[in-house]
Amino acid sequence: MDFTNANCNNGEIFMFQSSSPPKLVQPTPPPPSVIHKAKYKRNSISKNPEEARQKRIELDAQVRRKHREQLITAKRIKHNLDAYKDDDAESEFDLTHHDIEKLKSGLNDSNRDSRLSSLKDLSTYLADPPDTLKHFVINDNCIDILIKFLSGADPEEQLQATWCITNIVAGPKEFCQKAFIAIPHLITSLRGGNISLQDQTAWAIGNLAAEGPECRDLLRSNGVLIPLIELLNSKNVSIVQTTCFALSNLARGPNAKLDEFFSAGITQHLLFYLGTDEMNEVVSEIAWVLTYLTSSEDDKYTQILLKEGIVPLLVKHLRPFNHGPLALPLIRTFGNIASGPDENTDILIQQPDFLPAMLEYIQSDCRPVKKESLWVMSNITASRRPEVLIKVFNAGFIPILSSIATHTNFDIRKEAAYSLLNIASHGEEYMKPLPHQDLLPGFLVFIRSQDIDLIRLGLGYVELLLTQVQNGQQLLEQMQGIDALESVTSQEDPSLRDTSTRLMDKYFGEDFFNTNITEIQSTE
Amino acid sequence: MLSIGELLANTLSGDQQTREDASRQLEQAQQTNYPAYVVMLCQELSNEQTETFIRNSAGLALKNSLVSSEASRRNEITQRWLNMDEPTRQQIKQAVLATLGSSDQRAAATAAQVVSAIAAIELPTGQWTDLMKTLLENVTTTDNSQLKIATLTAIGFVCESIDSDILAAQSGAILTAVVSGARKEEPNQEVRKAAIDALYNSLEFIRENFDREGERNYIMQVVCEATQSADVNVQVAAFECLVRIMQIYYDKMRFYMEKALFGLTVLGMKHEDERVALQAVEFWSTVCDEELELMGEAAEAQETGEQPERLSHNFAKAALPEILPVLLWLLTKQEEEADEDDWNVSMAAGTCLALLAQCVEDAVVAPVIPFVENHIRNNDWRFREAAVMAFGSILEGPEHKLLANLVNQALPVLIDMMRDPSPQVKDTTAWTLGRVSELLIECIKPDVHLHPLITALVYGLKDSPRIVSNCCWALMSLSDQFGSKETPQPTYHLSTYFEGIITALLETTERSSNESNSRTSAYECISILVQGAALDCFPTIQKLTFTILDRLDATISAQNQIVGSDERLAHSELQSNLCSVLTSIIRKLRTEVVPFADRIMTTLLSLFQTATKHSTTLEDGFLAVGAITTAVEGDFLRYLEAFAPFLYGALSNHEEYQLCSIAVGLIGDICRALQEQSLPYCDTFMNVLLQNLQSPVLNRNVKPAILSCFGDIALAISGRFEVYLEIVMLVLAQASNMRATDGVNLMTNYDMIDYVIALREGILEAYVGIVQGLKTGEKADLLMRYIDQIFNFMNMTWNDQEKTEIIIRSMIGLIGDLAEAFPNGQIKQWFQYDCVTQVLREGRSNRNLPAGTREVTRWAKEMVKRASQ
Repeated sequence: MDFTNANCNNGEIFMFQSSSPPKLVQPTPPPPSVIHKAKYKRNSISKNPEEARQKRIELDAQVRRKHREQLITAKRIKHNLDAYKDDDAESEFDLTHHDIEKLKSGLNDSNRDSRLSSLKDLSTYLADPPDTLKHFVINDNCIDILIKFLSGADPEEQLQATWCITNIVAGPKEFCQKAFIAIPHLITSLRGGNISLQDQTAWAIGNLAAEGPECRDLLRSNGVLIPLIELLNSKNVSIVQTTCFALSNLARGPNAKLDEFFSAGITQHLLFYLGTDEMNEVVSEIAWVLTYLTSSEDDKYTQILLKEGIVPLLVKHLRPFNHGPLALPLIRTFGNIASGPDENTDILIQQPDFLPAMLEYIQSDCRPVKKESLWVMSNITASRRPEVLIKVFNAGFIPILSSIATHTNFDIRKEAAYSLLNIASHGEEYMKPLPHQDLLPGFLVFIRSQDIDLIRLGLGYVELLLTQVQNGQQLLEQMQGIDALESVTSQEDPSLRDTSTRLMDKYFGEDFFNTNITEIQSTE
Repeated sequence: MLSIGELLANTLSGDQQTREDASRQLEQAQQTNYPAYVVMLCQELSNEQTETFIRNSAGLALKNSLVSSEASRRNEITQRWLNMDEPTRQQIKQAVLATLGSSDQRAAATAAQVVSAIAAIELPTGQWTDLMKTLLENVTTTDNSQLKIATLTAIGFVCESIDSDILAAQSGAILTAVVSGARKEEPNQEVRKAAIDALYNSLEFIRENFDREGERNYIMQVVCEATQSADVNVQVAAFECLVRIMQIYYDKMRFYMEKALFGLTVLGMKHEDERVALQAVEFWSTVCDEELELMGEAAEAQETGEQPERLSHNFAKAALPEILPVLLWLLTKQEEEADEDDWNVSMAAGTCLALLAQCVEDAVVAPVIPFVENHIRNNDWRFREAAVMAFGSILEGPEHKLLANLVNQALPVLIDMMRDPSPQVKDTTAWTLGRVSELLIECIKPDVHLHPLITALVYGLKDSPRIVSNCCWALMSLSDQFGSKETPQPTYHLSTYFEGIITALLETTERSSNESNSRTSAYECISILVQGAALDCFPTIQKLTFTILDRLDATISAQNQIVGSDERLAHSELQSNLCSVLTSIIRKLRTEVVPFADRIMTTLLSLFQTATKHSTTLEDGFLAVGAITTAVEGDFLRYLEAFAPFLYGALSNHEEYQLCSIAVGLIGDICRALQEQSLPYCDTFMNVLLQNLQSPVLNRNVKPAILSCFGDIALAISGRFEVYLEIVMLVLAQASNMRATDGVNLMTNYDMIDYVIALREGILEAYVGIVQGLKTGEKADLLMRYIDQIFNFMNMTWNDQEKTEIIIRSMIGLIGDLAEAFPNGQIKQWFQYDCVTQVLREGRSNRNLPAGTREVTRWAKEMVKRASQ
């Protein structure tokens, strides 16, 4: 090894400087081999009498400490220490009933400043409500007071009250249900012209929508969609982001009534934000909305978006995300699209930049991005059209997928293996050119694993190898593939057992062994 | 009178009489005229005409007159040397340095030891400042290989024996000499070997050199090149250096790993010379050590929401595919009959694999399992042992759900393998079963596995000693997992097997030898089983009590027949083992032991009567007495008169500080048991404790326990503590003045920090006991004089960075106790101290504090609120 920046390399004496004494004398670690030897077959038995005695003395000290603690605590308990017990879920805030009463009277105070400061206190406490405050929200008139503020005329008070609602609906279920009666007032706020209030309200609605299907139905039946989608006309980044958050939550689940989203004209807004280059900050949020719109069982929503030409706009945004987590919703949207009919896949791969970008994404350092990109590719390679596969081949996916499928973590390998197996099962001409020398060891590890999916993938590959590749059988023998197949025979799953037995019988059955035995005999 | 040379020759004579005479005369010469003695020795050492063996023994005698392993003797020796006049010392040093260049290799090597011995005395006092310069010249300006080797050896000894902070100032010269000897340009491989050995010893105090990139690069280059030397000894030494460098300078290794180390060490593991392979494996174990520590730091930082100071480079994860197959292969390179003290490459590979599993977690499982499956039924025991070892090693690290299925399948196979013909396989299997019990107890299904598992382990108890040890461990782990050490359960999974296991263990302990620690393990196992036992095992435990007492009585009556120190040691070890089982029994049975308390105390008292002053038996016996006090409480008064002499004897035996410390704790136990009945003894207790505090000989680590003990006494005798109040408060004020940092040179060390923390814990316990005691005795007013002292102490302790959870917890309690003792606002101004508010807030918000702290905090807050009105 040679370090070019070393001062001297020509046989002269290299002069070192001296050091100053250390400030803190650190204990010297024992030499590594001493440490490691002590760890060899480590168990908790004392290694010698002295160590055993040290343990006993330490235990004695512990017992003594415990007894002393019990005694002094007992003297305190005489004074009712039990009353000071509390549970672990206790709030940071310590509010007595008296404090709550003070808060209430502050909220009803005639002075605007004290009302506002009480509202601010309330929203702070609501972030981590103590029991007394929970009681105020659930069993007392907290929500009524807040609604009064919402329907009032003071914009600052409305905003602070909406903050409180936002925190309430982010809380436990019974909190959220209590706040249902505020929904009409919130929708009124959405339609108003106050930007900060709209932003805060959209946030509260997003939290409500996350609560569950019942709450989403309630919001929709109160007509939340139209004013919410109209907010997308705003050119304020924060509002657009918050609105997308609310829309994403509303579009969740199987009965999301997506028709209403489309009839309210969501498509043009999505296209606008994807098309413009002015608001890149909102692209990720927009894409989250798209992941829900494209994930529906019914492909018709995806078809609407495809017809409107959404794919080129999405592909355009693949590049600037640098493979980070912001790209996740984009990738997932592509995966959703590709899981539809083959025509969808065609649209994707016709974009010249799509496959090259995906090739980079499947090599991302960000694990979820890498995994979902591989999932996209398994959807793409499932296409029944040869030209798709040829494009995948030509874009250089095979070596990369092969390397991923044989290295790294199993969950990632599995995803890459799906793509490879998809490709291979399209016929001999696709199976043959794969780098079997590298792939086989990887798939054999799958077979030896304990994961049923992995075993199935491995067996699928081996079967193709045996049936479609000329020297497949030979290759398998060289790499102890038979051992691997044999290991499956102890698996519980009957279909796996059958497959491996069938393969062994067919290719390495009696005939095979007989030939081998004769060979050995003939060499003798 | 014989000449010194003749005397030295005679010390090596075959005739015992001649030998002893010579030694005595030399000793006499040393006593009567030390300077003349050392000058003579030095002349013999440096005389080229003298025979090698005489020069060698002259040098060793000279060295031995300069070093000692005992601290008190060391001081004396140092002064004796420094008191000699300058010219004489100069003359000796010159002659010794000259001898480094002798063609007589033995003499030169001995001279190197003498150089280091003199340097160890003179360098710390700022003398012999030109030593390093001379040594450096020896290495850099000569072609004399012998001189270079001896000089580098001397540097190595100096680096090994002198404190880093003294050597740091010389690190420039040391490194220059050492590294120049280690370069590949040095043709003599013995010189390189000596240089690299010296470099190894200097690695610690060259931190600043290592901080400088240019210097670091050069050192790394020289070491890496040395791994490629044609001489395998140089290679081994260079790899040893790399291991140590990785341990000390992990943070700086990324660049070198990428450039060279990664490749060098992976190749090194496959080296044909086992010593090289061993060091290469150690290198990766060290990487894992460091990365595990960094993982810990990162987790801790995440918990507190901070950024970790240092980051892991994840070398182990990156290297996994390269190193794992080699490690597995090395596992099969066991030696036929490995000694317990051996450290060979297959053992190292085992440790490395276990560390690797903790480091890379899940990723280790998939590649190891095929190896296990392929070899566990191999005909060659080496492969079977390696397979089980590999399996046992990866049980800690990966997620349980990933392992559960595998362990489930493996258990029946492993249980079967306890009958393997190979002892090595059985030993590793027993260890692996222990690991499963300790780490993955959920995989052991009581109705399916427990019966065959315990049968196999109990069967193993009859096997060879080493296997016994691991079987005991597996049984202990089962007990820890299924049993309860606090309140006993009515019954538990081991109840049916309990008596059988105890019987088998008692049989094992009847073997005459303690080979491989097997007897100690069996007794330890009995203790642990007793600790975890359920109520339905109590009859067996009572039977066990009598067996143990009978055995203890037997050892006492055999006391007189013991001859020789080995036998005495074994005897006292056995008594310790028996006492420790007894202690566990007493703690477990608690009040149910009362009916046998007389029998137990009788045995213990006769044990104390026969025990020698220095034996460790007393310590373990005292622990048993401590357990008795808790069980019989006030009844202990019956035994105190008889026991007190032994207690006082131990308290005044300052050389045996561990025993003394236990005795101090025992006073606290006795006071807690007797309460106000202890009053007649308290004057003596207090006197002995105060004397011990003043003792210059007594190990300081006993002192914090003494302070806590004051609190225990105050709690027991409440208002009567009045008479001791003034002196104890004075002592506590003095103890509060101890600081870990000495104001002058800002030097501090970890031992000192630990000691100050222990003192403060003791001080707080004393204050708590005194405040509560005086309050109970309605004498709280006596404390008014000391309120300032107490709050100032709390303020200082709170504002010190170094404080423990125990300190915080105790402070909160003390604040509450003070507030309760002065409920009418008498001391309310002190409760306004910032530290009071802050510590109470900490008590509410810090979730790492001991259990129950939050309740105590609420109580203390309430008390403070009341006392502040």
